[in-house]
Amino acid sequence: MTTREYNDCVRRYGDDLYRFALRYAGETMAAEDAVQDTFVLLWEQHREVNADKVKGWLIRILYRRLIDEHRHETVKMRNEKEEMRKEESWRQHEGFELHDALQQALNQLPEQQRILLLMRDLEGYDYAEMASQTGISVDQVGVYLFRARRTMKKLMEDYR
Amino acid sequence: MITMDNYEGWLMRYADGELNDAERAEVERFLQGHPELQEELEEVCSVKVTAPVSALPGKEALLHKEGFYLSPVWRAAAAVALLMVAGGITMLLNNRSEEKPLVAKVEKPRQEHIDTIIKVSSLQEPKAASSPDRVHTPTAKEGRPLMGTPEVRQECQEVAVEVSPQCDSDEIDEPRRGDTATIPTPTLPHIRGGMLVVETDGLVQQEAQLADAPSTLEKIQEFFMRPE
Repeated sequence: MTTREYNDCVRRYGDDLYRFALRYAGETMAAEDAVQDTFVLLWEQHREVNADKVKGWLIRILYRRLIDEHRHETVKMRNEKEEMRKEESWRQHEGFELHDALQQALNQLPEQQRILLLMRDLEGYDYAEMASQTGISVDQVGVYLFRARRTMKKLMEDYR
Repeated sequence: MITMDNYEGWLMRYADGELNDAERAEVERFLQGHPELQEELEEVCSVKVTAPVSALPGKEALLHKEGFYLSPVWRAAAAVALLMVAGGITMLLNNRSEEKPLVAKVEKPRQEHIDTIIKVSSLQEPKAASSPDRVHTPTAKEGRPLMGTPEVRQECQEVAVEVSPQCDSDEIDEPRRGDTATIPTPTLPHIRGGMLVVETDGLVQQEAQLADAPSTLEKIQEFFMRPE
């Protein structure tokens, strides 16, 4: 892809990727870093990336970036200050209470279920695309999505 | 085959429209046998994840200046085209350099057309001690022969006549400072534009300014008109 196509990509997908990362990470700083890193990597490889398939490329890179960050975060103990910062970041958005309940439920999901749920609900991916992005079968995508929604339903009811 | 061990994936794909007609019919038959799962499916499908409308911070910093990019194939084609244009320009310049320059040339007076050049300054009347060696016009008061006598003629030839430089070839040179131009003239020496002009076989050389041309000219004309 050309520089112009890269810039178009930033303008077209930047906000969507940020919302995706925001829902996955649950905080603005981590989401911003993940999306920034994804576009930096895209710029480094933009000559080799097909412009027609860049959306899938971006989601795949962002997905791996978020998974790696999530695993890194779960290994180390988060102190109270970090938790407060995350909560505060969500209060910056309108309707943060609803999002906060949703986010609390999302944070309880296994990472693969969380990613699949976000791909489906936020990006509108079909099962074949999700299977391709995550490397699992279409049948397994259905199973993970069913379990993710069932868990979310239960957690959100408990939160209320 | 749908069972209680694998129904999750089937129901989810059914709800999301990922099944064909036969698979959808099979799921519907399964749900008719398990009404509790029909209720569970409706609850599961009620969960929808949304995200707040948010703009990526620092998006402008991710943009890069858009330059002109050519793929390798087009770059090679452009290089060939550039070489062809450069070659054409070089050939054009070479052809132009072989043509005669569009600069006016003045033909140098040839030797056969130039007999004498009269140094007007040497024919001027003496003035104080300004140039005693060269200004030497004989007068009766000095007891010297008058203009037209063999003595005067000889002196004039010795003092006032110079021969133009030899021109060895017919080649045409660029005009230089000091070169003279040729113009048609009458038979006798005369004054034109403040210059003393002497005919030389149809061509003329004109030299320095004549200070008191009328009197000197009269003497020179008399000199040229007298028989040997």
